[in-house]
Amino acid sequence: MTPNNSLYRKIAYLGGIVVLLLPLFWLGQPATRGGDEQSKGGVLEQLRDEYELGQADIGAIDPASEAIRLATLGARGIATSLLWSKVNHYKMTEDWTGMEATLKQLAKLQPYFIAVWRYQSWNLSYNVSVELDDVKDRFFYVKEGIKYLKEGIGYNRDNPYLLDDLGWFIGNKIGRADEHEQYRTLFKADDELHAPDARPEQRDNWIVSKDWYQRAVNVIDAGRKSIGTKNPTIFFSNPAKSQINYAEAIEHEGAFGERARRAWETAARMWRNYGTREMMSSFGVLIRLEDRERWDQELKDLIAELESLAPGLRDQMEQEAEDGLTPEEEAARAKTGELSEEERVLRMDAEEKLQITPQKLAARIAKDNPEKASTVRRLANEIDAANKRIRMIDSNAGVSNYEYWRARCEFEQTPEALKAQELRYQAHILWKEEGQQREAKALYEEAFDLWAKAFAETEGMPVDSATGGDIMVFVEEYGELLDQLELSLADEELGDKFPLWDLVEVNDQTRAFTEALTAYKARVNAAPKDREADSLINPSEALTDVYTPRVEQGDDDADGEAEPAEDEAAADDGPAAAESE
Amino acid sequence: MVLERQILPYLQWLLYGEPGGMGALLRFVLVLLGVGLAALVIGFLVAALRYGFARGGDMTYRTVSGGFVELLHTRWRRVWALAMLAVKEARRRRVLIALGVYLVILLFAQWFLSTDYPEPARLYLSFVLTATTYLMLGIGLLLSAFSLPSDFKTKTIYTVVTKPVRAGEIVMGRILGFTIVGTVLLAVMALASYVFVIRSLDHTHEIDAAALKTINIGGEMRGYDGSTDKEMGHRHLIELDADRRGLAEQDRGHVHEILPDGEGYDVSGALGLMKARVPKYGKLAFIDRNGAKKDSGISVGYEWKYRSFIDGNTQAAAIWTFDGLDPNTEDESLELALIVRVFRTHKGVIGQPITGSIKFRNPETGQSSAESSFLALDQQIDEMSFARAMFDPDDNPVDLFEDLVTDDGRLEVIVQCLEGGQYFGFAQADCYIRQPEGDPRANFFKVNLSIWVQMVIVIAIGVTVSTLVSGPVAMLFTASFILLGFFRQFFLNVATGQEYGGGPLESLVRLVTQKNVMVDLGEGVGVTIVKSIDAVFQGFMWCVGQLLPDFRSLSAVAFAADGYNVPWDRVWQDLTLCGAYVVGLSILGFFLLRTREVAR
Repeated sequence: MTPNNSLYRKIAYLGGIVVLLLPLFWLGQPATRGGDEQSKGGVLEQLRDEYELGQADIGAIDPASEAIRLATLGARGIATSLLWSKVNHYKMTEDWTGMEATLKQLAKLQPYFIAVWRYQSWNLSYNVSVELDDVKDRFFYVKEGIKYLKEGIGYNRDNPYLLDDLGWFIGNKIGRADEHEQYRTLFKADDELHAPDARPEQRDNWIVSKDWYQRAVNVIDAGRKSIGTKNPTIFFSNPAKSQINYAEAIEHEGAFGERARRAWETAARMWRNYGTREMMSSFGVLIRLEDRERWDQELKDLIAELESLAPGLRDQMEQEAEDGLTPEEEAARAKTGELSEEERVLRMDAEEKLQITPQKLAARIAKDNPEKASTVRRLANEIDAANKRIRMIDSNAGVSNYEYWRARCEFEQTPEALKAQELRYQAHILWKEEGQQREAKALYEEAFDLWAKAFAETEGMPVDSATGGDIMVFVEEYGELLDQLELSLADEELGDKFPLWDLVEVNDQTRAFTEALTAYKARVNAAPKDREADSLINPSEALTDVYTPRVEQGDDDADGEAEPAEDEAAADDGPAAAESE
Repeated sequence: MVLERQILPYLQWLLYGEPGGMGALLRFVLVLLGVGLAALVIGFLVAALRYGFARGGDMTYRTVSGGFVELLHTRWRRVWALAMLAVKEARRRRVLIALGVYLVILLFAQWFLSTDYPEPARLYLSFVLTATTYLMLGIGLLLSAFSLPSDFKTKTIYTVVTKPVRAGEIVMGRILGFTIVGTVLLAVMALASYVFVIRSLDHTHEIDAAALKTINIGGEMRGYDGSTDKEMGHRHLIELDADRRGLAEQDRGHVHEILPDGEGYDVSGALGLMKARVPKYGKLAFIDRNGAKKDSGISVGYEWKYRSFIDGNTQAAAIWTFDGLDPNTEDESLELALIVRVFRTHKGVIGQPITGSIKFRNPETGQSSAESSFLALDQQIDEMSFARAMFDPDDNPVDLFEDLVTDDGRLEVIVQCLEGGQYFGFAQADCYIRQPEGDPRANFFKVNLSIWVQMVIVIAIGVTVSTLVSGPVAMLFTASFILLGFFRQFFLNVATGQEYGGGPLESLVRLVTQKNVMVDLGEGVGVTIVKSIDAVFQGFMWCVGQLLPDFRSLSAVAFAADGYNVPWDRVWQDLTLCGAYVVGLSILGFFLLRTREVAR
């Protein structure tokens, strides 16, 4: 090799480097902002901007975090593993201070790793807190988990997972733990968790939780982040659910009247807004939960339009189907008692033949009237689509129990339900704190009458729902009070006046009222028409008509059942009727 | 505090060890003999291979006998002179930069530390002391590992060996010199860290006089109560007497003294942030729910087996037997501390602590005091005081010291949980008699002494190894020694087959084949070969394990962090161990250096 060869090779390398630097410069050119010359920068810069990958776009840039990451000299992975294992060790040896301090170091090492914030904040709020015995100590670590998550949000603002988790921690952990009464009080009193000028109701954990959930929803609505793998039906329901929980909680704690009504009114509004929100269903189609009725009507209209193409054809097909059954199928249909396997199959075949679906009808119309085939095909497709849409709405509405909560928000706003809550609270205080048993009993009875009326007025509120379960707690209290007075709901006079037997029938988990219920039913069955109860609702009517859970009925039945309730509400001519109108 | 291993009295540790164990002295002699014998055999084999059997034997004999004679002629004056040379060398190598590094660490420590924890002093102390430990070990490692190899490389060793000094004196001189340098650095760091902790945690509070409530009893004004403002993430409840004097109640492990200052109040700095509790521990035994004696209580399913539990509202009890008490003492009370770990199987009344009982019993006569009930403070030190005048269960008066302490000074403390379905957990160190507290500054010094011990051991290892190999190799060897020393127990557990996953080769096989430690490898020739090779490895590991210093147990950081006094027994044990390593390694270093051509 001559010296010249070596020189040429080096020049070639240098040239290569320069050539490669050009695309690198083109790709990596930084953006210039402000001033006269504005540039979007190179491809990489534009991509960073588009996907918000810059550190400043993600959240806070912390010098401490940057310093510790640089100080590991590329061994961040090892340092993280060691710290993680140290956290586990501290947790095992119950060194909570050491554990928390290590968690903070861990977070500084990987501040943009969402799973760390989520997992370790859960660890603090849920796992560490329960390891302590004193309620204040427990709350301290619940709060530490919340603070940890907030720190994570500081680094990763707009992350819907962290925002949603924070809403859950503040709502669920503070408001649903066994210690929720103490936690809620401590939460309200804690200056660290609230702005200094926060009003008392703004310090309620459910309201704070609602705000964080709302922030998460806003991020998605603004299109700043993706909802990821979160279930939209649950995710978007959270703010409204927190408002519902708030309304429940303040009533439980003794806030009634206008304040409670406003809380429920807001909840109802938020729940309706949630119902009208367009959400991606699990089948990848956009739906609105509130559209269920509209699609029902659409389906009915489509079927009517289809039937109008061949008037009388449905009846004719039904008759033909019945005539076309084999003797074995007819025998299987007619048979009562236990069926053999073969008979069961025959009966199922017969039922299928007798069912005239829109598709069968459409096929027949197209066959009989070829000129209408294209119209029929379109209608059949539209009917099919409407059916699918209804199934999707039902399926998603079931996930958030949409119909129930909609009815519940209406139910709780009724003057009767609001007053009933107040009365049962006063009854409890009178009995437990002031020892006035007789007065308490009267208040409980008045509350039950009002609840019965509220049930009658509110469409779609079944007694076997969570509401029924909640009220059952007060019925049990009432039963306990009667025991002290040496009375019982099995007593004829009391039993006949009691208006919530149907609620007791489905919610009496402890079976404490079985005997009283049996006695009451026997009396009702013996002379249903002669009995006149003193309560606002005739119990026998209530049992058979008003309180029949509509969710278990078909559409036609539900319509049919609604009438007596509406009639009764109208007949009562009280504030409830006016309110519902 | 968590004390997983009992600290034995110094002489018992030195001569007998734990019951059924071996004294430290005997262990030292056995290790020395083992290492000496191994060195002799290896030396002889090498010499025999190079020079033949007879001449090799003769050379070995001459080396050993000559070596010991030379060692006996060691002169401390020359050792001191060489030590001073090592100090100068360390200064030339800008060792003081370490102080700068330490100050930078302290400067930026505030970024990662917070006073917003239930035990801020614990966090701060453990941080500064751990940082000091790691830095001192690093300094010891770098100073010792590169010194001699560098001299060999630059030939400056000739300026030393041409003087009338012996190889042993060179080794000891280096160890001593670097120890002096390390000691000075450690002293400065200890002072800086002490000031850092005190300055970081010291604070005071403001009191809004108008917000205080008056305490009236029977129409008479008895004082005031209320709270301080929030500072460093906490506020204190306060109760003042009618003269407006009092204490801010304990929070975050400290109190404040409050004095009137005109219309307002003067609140002192934090008192009691650093403590040096002096506990007198007893021996713990258990009684199960049926009244039978047991060595341990029951497990409630915790992974950590440090504590075992007694069930409430049964006969189950934890019994501590204390000895060395004076039945003729003039003390008016017995000061006791109890740490209870509460485990609930049901919530009970939320917000209400679990009730327990405590009583004292004479282990000889069985005479006992009536039970006193207490509310369990979970995971906290409950400091109790029991007046000597007590009553027995039949309401007859008894004297705690005269009647319940035996003539040879023994007393039983019996603790029970009184609520069914709830449990109390205890370890031996969870109940102790409180003796007058020590000086936290003296305690801080003792903890730094434990760091010093670790540093000296590292220096001794580094200097010894560097007599034979080059600087980087010596550094790697010493670093490995330190690393293994921190995981000594695990290393020994692997060597003795107590860890899941087998020996080193089996672990490698499991890693490669992605079989976790619980999966059975099965049988076969391959597995047999792997296990056989591992048996050899494990034997070797066991031998190395006997030489390794246990750096974790040498650390006394937890004592200072938890606010407990480091017992003098523990300090003497550490110093003895350090001396043993220095002596053993100096002898080894001397013989290794003699093998080098230059040092003969």
